[in-house]
Amino acid sequence: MTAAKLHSDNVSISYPLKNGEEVIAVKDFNMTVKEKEFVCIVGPSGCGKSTMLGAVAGFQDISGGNLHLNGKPIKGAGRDRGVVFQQASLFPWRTALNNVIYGLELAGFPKQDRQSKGRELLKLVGLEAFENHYPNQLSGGMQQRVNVARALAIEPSLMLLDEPFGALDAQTREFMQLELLRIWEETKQTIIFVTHDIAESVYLADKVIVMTARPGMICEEVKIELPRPRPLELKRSPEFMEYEKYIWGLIVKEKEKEKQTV
Amino acid sequence: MNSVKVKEQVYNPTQSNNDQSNLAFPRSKTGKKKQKTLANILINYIGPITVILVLAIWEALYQTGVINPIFVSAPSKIVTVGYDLFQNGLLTENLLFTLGNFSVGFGVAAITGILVGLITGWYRPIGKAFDPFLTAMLGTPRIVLLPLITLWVGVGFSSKILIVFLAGVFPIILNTMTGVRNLDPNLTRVSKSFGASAIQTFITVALPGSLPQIVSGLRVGIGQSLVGVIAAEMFVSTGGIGYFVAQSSANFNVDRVFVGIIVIVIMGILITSSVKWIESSLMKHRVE
Ligand SMILES: Nc1ncnc2c1ncn2[C@@H]1O[C@H](COP(=O)(O)OP(=O)(O)OP(=O)(O)O)[C@@H](O)[C@H]1O
Ligand SMILES: [Mg+2]
Repeated sequence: MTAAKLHSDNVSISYPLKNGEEVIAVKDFNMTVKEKEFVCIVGPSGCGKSTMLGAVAGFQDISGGNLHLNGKPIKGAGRDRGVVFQQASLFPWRTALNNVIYGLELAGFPKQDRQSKGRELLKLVGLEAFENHYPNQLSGGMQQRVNVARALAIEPSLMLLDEPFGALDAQTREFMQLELLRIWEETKQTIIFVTHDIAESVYLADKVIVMTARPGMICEEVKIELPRPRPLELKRSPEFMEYEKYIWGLIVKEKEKEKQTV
Repeated sequence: MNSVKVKEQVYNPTQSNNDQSNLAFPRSKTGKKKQKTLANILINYIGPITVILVLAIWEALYQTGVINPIFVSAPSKIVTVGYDLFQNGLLTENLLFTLGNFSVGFGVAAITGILVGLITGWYRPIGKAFDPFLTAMLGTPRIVLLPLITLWVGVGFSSKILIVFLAGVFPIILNTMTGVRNLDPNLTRVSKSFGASAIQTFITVALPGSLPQIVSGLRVGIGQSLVGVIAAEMFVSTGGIGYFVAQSSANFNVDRVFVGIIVIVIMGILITSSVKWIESSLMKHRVE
């Protein structure tokens, strides 16, 4: 447990239903995320990825186990974690710059400081020329970059991204992955990244956590030992495809198991 | 520069579409130039032209004695009588009286309506408790409360303010409440993820997020408050533009009735368009 940033120990999460029963969305989830580690969680739709991420973010209460961040149990949301949501979640009435500095505003930073910090971050995500644009004047990829910048602004010790590039076309998506890695290397963040795109997870992560469908459990933790920095061409390399095939195999095997039990 | 462009157009086959449209336009222009432009003017100014036409016919009917001057005024009469009334201060006096009642009543309605709407929208149980009253009040023309109000507060200043207030406040409450209730839950979650307190979420998400509905509530409210102030003045007042119209009508002074109505129409248009202006300046991100 040394140097563990996040430690999840047999975490279970369930949703109560109206008829008094409950759905178990996540079961016996064990995971350790180290300082500055890039961890991806992959799994089929509905397996509980967002639920688990929500618990780490503090939106979601856990019904069993222990969930510790920096050695303390997680109780509610906080500025030590930055969240990038799956859906468009920029404030439509704020300009790009004002969206980025939202967290700083809440924290009560002086106006001068937050503006310069906001501009710095827009520059980091390559949008310094768009600070006065409203979200509806930005493309989907640009919006997600503002989203990332907004989460980075509060200098969280942990970044949580829930399928942030899910709605983007393939090319923009690859470009955003490259950008995210560059930002990660520049800012030295710890990142948990949820996706159901296997190639995306292999390309980004130090460690891929593969989840099974319902109830969401970890079926395997795959260490990705590809060298960094990782150019996009890496995706065409045999080592990369090997990882991809392996994880794909895990998910298919789980699917078949599921079919047999039904 | 220009000549180069023309050459490019001629020799570039990919621009042949552009060329055709460019050629087609001047050709038809030279053919029936005068008719085209006349038709264009007619279409562009069809609104004002119709107004002028109607006014002219109206005036003609009046001058030839087809319409009875006891019951209907004429444009020329409205202008001269209106000018006189303006000169001797009667019109301004009544107008200011009405605007005074209106602004106080509507101002209070706007502030109350927005506050109550935000609270009832934000705290669901309070909103639920409030719903039946709101539905009852919205379904009823508030002017039916006038007799009751005069019974309570008499026929003075406060009765008119109260009716203006009641006329305007309910649509503002309803719209604001709906706006807050329909907030995007994602955005509320974003603010929580940044560690916002309940008050901070309220100020940074609920308020700006429901602004479009607040403004549309204000617009509906303004219309109803205007109806309220004029109606109240007609029934329980000794001043104001509504009183002026009612009085003139009782005295069979049809020209004055028409002047009063025109003034009310203009007032309505001005107030409504000022809301539109406020709306567009508040919601810059919606434009484009
Ligand atoms: N509010 C809720 N009430 C009841 N059940 C829920 C609720 N939210 C999620 N679930 C259930 O919990 C399970 C996990 O949902 P979750 O959103 O975490 O999946 P996911 O892995 O993020 O899926 P996706 O990839 O489609 O986003 C699902 O089976 C879903 O039906
Ligand atoms: Mg999800």
